[in-house]
Amino acid sequence: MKRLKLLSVLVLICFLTGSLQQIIVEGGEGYRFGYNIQEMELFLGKKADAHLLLDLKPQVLDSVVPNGVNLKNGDELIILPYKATITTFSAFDNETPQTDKTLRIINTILNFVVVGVYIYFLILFFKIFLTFTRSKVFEEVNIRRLNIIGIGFICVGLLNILLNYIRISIAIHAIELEDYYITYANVIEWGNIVIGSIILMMTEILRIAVSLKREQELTI
Amino acid sequence: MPIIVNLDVMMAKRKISLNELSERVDITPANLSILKTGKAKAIRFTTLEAICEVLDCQPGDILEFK
Repeated sequence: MKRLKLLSVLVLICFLTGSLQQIIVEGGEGYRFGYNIQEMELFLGKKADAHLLLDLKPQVLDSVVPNGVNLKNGDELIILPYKATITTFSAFDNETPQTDKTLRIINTILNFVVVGVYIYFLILFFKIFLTFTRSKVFEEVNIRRLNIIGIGFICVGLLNILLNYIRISIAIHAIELEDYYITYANVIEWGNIVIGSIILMMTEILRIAVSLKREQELTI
Repeated sequence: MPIIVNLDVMMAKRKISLNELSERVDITPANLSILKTGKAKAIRFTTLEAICEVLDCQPGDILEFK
């Protein structure tokens, strides 16, 4: 039980630190990025209308020429961006088709849903952690909570796939690059789905443990 | 469940109460009640032995297969 408590503390610390890191690092970068974009908006005299994180692939891989320099030794480098944030200034103006607008609204709503689900996970994790501290691990309520978390992670994984698909679809409709094309190659993110499946597997083990405990309690 | 617990019958025959039996067998009345009402999933040999000793009967008098 002591080890279990230790592990649960570790999981909670990892979860909170990870979330905080994401908020601080990405938030900080986002703020800096936003500030630069604002300056650019003032310079150009028009407003940015979208910031899209996209996967890119070079159109012609054979004829890639050096496009960078290694400042350490002056060597030429070939830099191929496979992930890039593209900010557009007039790709989504008033003439944007209705489907694009709808997709953007759906995209925003889904983003909020994902954030909400993560907050709910945090609450559930905390409740499970509390049962660990009270040595009441093998309870039906914990199976239910873990089940929700597992299924939730899989749903978030599927939502992310949908979000990626929508984001790339929006981008492909409005943006065309000179040397690169926007790819659907990494549209599926397996991370959350794998985590969800592992949690569901562990939940099944806990379910067996709870039923064994119940039988043990009814052994006179 | 095909195994029937006839503990209440034996207790009635021996005119012994649940509390007295639980004290003499050294198990809690709650656990003995679970056994008496047929909710128990299993019974330890030591418990069965103690009950048989107190009630002066055979295991077959307490447990029955139907």
